[in-house]
Amino acid sequence: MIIVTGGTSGLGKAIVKGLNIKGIETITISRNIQKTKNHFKCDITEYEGLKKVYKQLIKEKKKIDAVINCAGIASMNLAITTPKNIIDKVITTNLIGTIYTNQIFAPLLIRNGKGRIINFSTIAVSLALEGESVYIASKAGVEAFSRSFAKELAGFNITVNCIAPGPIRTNLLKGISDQQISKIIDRQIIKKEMKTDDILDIVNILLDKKSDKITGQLIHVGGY
Amino acid sequence: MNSEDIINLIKDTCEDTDNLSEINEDSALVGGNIDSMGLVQLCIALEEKAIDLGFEFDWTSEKAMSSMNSVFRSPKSLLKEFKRQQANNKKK
Repeated sequence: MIIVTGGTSGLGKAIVKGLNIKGIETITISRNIQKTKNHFKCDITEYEGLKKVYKQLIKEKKKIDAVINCAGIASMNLAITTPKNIIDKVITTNLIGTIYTNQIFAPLLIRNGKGRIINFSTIAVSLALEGESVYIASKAGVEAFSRSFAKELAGFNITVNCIAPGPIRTNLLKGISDQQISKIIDRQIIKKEMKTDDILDIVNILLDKKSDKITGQLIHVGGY
Repeated sequence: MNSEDIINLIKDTCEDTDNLSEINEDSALVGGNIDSMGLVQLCIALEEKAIDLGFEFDWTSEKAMSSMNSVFRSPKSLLKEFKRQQANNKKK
């Protein structure tokens, strides 16, 4: 089974769908109420809530093979004009929430004797896009955390990698104009707009048992 | 759970660590006889033990990696913390 945070919307939902099509069972965690099997309503910024999910999974003796952390929010704004509450929310959700889920669910993989953790960053970090500095700071933190956490878990046969997609048309991008998206795509090596399926392909590669030596890596989908 | 139980648990959990054969309740763990990987394995073993005993063991602690103050500094301090959490859980 694979845990997918943010698995009921956007990229996370697409990944869940893709995994389910392959016959892989998923457990979704998100703020949304969902009447589907194996869904937990929990905000990733709520440490105790995530702990409850962890305890429940232990109780049910679920065998967890991977944790995919898609939950995240975006804020496109100049740092100087970003309200404090938005700064707090972006950092808390994207960085601290990701650290929480990594920390809390990693022991499920350790129990399993192997596993994969996939975190999400963005090409915006490497491009240092203006107008996204707070969002970029949160995701740069995720990249750094993933590299270090990969070292902490390597001895347990657990890989930790980070995927940094270019712009993908999900709700996360609703505040960005087509012109801005085109400009970002122009700075990728492959100058094509990526689809959720392109990200799913990378997820599947990282989940593959042959990828057990790929860890601590940042993968730019589309190239940078 | 007593001193012997916790020492055996440490030995069983960290079996890949060479220098654990002679440990006693005062032996140094963090900063001494177990590495960070051993510590993680020990945390999980203690959590499982606690589940068997009907309570929840929380290993997250600001002091976990401090060799001076860590509850993981010796089998004795670890046993004390384990029993403290067990007693607190009973009170709830």
